Amino acid sequence: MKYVAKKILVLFGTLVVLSFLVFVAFQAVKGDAALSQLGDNATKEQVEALREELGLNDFILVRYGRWLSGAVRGDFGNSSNYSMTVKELMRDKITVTVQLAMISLGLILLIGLPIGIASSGIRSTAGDIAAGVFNQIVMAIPPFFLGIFITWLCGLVLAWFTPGGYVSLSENFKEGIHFLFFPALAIAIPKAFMLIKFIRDSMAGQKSMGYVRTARSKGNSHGRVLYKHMLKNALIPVITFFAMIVAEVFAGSIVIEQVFGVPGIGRLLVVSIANRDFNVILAIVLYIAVIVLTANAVVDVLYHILDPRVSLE
Amino acid sequence: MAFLEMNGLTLSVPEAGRGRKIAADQITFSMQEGEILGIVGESGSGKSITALSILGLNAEEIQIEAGSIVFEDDELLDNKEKDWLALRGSRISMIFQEPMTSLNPVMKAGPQVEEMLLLHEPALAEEQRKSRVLEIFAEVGLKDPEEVFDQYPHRLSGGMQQRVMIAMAMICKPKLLIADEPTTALDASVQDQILALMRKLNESYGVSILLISHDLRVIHSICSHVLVMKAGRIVEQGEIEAVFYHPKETYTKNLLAAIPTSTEDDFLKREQNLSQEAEVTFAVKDLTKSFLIKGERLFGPKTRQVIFQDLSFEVKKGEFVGLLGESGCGKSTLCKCICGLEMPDVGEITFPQAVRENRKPRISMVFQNPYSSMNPVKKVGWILEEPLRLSHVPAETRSARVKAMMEKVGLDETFAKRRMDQLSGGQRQRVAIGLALMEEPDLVILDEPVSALDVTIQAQILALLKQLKKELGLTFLFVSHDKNVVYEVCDRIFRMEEGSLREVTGKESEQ
Repeated sequence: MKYVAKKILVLFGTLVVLSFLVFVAFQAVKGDAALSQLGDNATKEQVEALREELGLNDFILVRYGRWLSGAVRGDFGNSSNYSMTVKELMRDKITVTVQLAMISLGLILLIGLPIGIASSGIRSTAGDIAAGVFNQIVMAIPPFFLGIFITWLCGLVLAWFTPGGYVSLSENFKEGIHFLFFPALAIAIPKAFMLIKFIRDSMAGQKSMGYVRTARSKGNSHGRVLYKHMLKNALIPVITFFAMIVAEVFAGSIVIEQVFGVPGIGRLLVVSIANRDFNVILAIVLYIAVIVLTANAVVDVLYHILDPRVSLE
Repeated sequence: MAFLEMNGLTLSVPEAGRGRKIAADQITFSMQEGEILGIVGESGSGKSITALSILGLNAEEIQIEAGSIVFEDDELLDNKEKDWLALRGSRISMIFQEPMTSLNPVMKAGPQVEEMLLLHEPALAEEQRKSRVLEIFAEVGLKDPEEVFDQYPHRLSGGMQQRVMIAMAMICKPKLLIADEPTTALDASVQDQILALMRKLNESYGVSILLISHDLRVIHSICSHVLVMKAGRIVEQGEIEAVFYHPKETYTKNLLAAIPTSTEDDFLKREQNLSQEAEVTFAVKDLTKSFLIKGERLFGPKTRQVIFQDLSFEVKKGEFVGLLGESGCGKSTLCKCICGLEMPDVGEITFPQAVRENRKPRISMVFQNPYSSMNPVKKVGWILEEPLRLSHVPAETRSARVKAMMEKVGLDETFAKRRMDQLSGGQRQRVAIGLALMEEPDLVILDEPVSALDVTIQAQILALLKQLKKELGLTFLFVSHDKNVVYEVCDRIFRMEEGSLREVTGKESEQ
């Protein structure tokens, strides 16, 4: 209980500090919402008037205070680019990104875990080298290339889905899955293979441990030593790595969402930065921070559950 | 027909360059049922790989070149994988040096022992298995079997962990128990208990024991026969008394001569070369240290555990002071307080000379394992130069001082260009001592500096320390659990027990 309360306090503290830093950082960026709303043809007077109206000329702490008092009530202001509130805008985009992220994570685990575990049991040198080389190749493929490749192969050649189209899951589940599956695959493949490499390395590190020798001296078979003894020990460090993947995937893949035309957080971020849509950017930064911090807190708890030597303090 | 017969076993290991090196050469010995046979030798003598080959547990890169191992009429070297699995744990079992790392950290103690029954007596029902485990736990002297069953290994003390290991090894009633340095990582008093337990099991179960150790005292205390190994060969073997009291080979004689055997009486009788100088190196006055321990319950009150209370003593310049005590008695905490790494609750520690010269006291430390406390990617010369660099000694004089120091600690100057991993244990400890002396310390704390070393190397390092003390007038605080070593080298000895300090003087009621 104490632990949870502490973590929540840290979370809010971090969010306040972070949002303030983003606020300050944006002072250095040329152009603002007034300029981008009115376009290049507006006169100086028009821009100035709009600035005054939007409250952009106030002292930074005043503006931050105004934003913060809204934010704690769940009001993140309006988007200057889209004519809707940030809250409404984010809700739709987050839904899409979270759906995409869930499918990606499912695929990462489905591909990464079994292959990682099975391939760390390979005992022949040749097999081990082959597995290592294949792994390196897949990890080295950049996601955008993989995205384009999958679009070409599955979308154009095999015509399993229509590239560039998108149907939301709530509208039509079957169609929606179709459109989300392939971008999810493009996100998942390189990360799954990183996971495989990480599991293999972690398992290899366990091989020289004393308890493994003890397990063998008891008459455990190779497989039993691997699954009953080494696996749980080897998975402990993997959790931290997996949490990094989780945070990355939930933050929305800018490249993949762009390539497949998925209307998620990643695309919204690109559009908002281009348009100086300050309120939206701020909200996205906070969303990502929440994801990263939550993932880390979950890691701590999982560590405690898996490794009896770690206590939550 | 012998119970275990090893004939001409030859093992090879890959060498750093190309090709292979013979690590065990023509090992031939036999063992009778019920016997306790010791294999003694220094590190690298091939004793462990010889023993591990009986269970087929050597790393893959170690190859069997020739020989045979016959155990109860079976040729073990013809074993297929499934023969090994049936043999390991049920007919021959093994315990290791570090009980902490030998137990699976994420598995409770009970289930780890229970696994033996799962593997070798699969017909047993779950309740039967559990009661067998509790039975053997009681047998090996674990006081509360039910509680130990549900504990993770890190919650148990070193001695209890080794008892769990022994319970695991004995639960299927094997014919042969191989014990590879089973007491090396344990405290002196716990060592004796574990050895007594092994002797008891030998008598009550008739289990034969193959005991591997670098410590001749351990071998002598329970073995009936002994093999002395050196550089992959058996140099001498026979009955224990014969080998110990009438050794034939020079190597065995040297090994026996290097054992520190001094007792408290020897220490008291020995003429103490107590420092004539009246100057005090450091004085400890009314020192008390305690720690807050978290309560049992989540929001329960914290309790205060007193480590030691009202310690007062003085150490004079040029003294070699011993600090004896079991682990957990507070000797490390005392050292940390002296170094300033821990703040005492009450009391003070003063270094008069430092106060006079208006500077901080210079205290350096030498640890048990120098390898893990030094940067592995740097060369010895660089490591030794570091303190001089930090105190802005000009570059020209630095290398000269490093060279002089290497000569003092008995290292050839070519060693300056080597990394720590290219040195032997004794050489590493010489580097550590050199590093500690680099800045003319007021006090050098030696924390178990020879405990991890072979006896002959141990004797050399102790001789080096004595010589350095004499030449340079150094003050040493020697912390150890090994009584014989302390009695042998120290001028004054303090014994720490349950937070109080008593000087060994021969007279009762001190401090």
